[in-house]
Amino acid sequence: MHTDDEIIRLCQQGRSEGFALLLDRYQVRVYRRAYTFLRDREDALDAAQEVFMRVLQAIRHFERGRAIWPWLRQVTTNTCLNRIRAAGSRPATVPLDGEWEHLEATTLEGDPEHRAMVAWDRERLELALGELPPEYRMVIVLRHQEEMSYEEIAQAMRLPLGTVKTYLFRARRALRAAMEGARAPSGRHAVAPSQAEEVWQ
Amino acid sequence: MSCVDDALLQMYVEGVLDAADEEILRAHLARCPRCRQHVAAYKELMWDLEHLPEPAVPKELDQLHETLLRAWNEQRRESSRSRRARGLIPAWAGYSVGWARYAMPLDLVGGLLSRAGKQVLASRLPLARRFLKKG
Repeated sequence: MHTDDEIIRLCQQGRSEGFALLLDRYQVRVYRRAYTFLRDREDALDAAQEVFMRVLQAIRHFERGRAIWPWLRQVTTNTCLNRIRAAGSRPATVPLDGEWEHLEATTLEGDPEHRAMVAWDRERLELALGELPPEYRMVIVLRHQEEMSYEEIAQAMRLPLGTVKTYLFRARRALRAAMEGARAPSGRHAVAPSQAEEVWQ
Repeated sequence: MSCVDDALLQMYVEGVLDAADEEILRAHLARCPRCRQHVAAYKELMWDLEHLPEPAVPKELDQLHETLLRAWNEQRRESSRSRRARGLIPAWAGYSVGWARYAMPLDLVGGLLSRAGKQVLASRLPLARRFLKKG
């Protein structure tokens, strides 16, 4: 198992096995991050290719001792952001059926009704994420999946801090509304008062 | 609608409120079931967002892996070609410096010049002055 530093050293020595190792370790991760930003398979594949072409050009300048993922994440964010901004008013796409892997077994344990409800909620959340404006979605992904602070997101997306907060609050409000709106017709309450007390505790 | 700003509730759930605001909000939540319900809904939402399933990996990624490795090898070949090309420059420069030693020394040039010529040359080329004075 090679460390990030060893991979970088091999790449900087011009050895192709270094770049192969970099791809083995990070290609899927870059693709997945690009997919969560762009919500389109082809776009995400193109973005992943662009990210690694940029990396290929810049890797000789990469400072040894630093972790690779934050750098790759930044390049991925920039690449996707450029694509989103270039696409301008292109409507957001929603994922195709089967695009998402099945949930891990541990998260779906319990009775069938509960499993079905969790799966249904996840599906609804995926759809609601797909319907968000792309930059709102990026902020959500960076905050909740990459666990970046507001300041880090502002820096990564080249946005003022206030804008990041606005996008984040609006996005979460929209997601909540979408989830609650979807639950209402089936007679289920968004968060039942009794449940709310449990979660609150 | 909650009676507290929605953004504040979200920040409370994230744990990014400052201590004073958090204390005020906590006191409010203790007596407001409606706001507690909003907080619970945001807690659920944030948990779900942190536990989203990963997108499936498309088959085309294998192909992309190969394409990128080819691009890497191509770039290596290209950069070694340009390094070799750069390597020719010092050699060429070296040859030209080598040839310079066969050029006529400056004081010998001075010997061939007339007195007036030496004066003109010395006034224009201060470095040549000490060689030309000898003649």
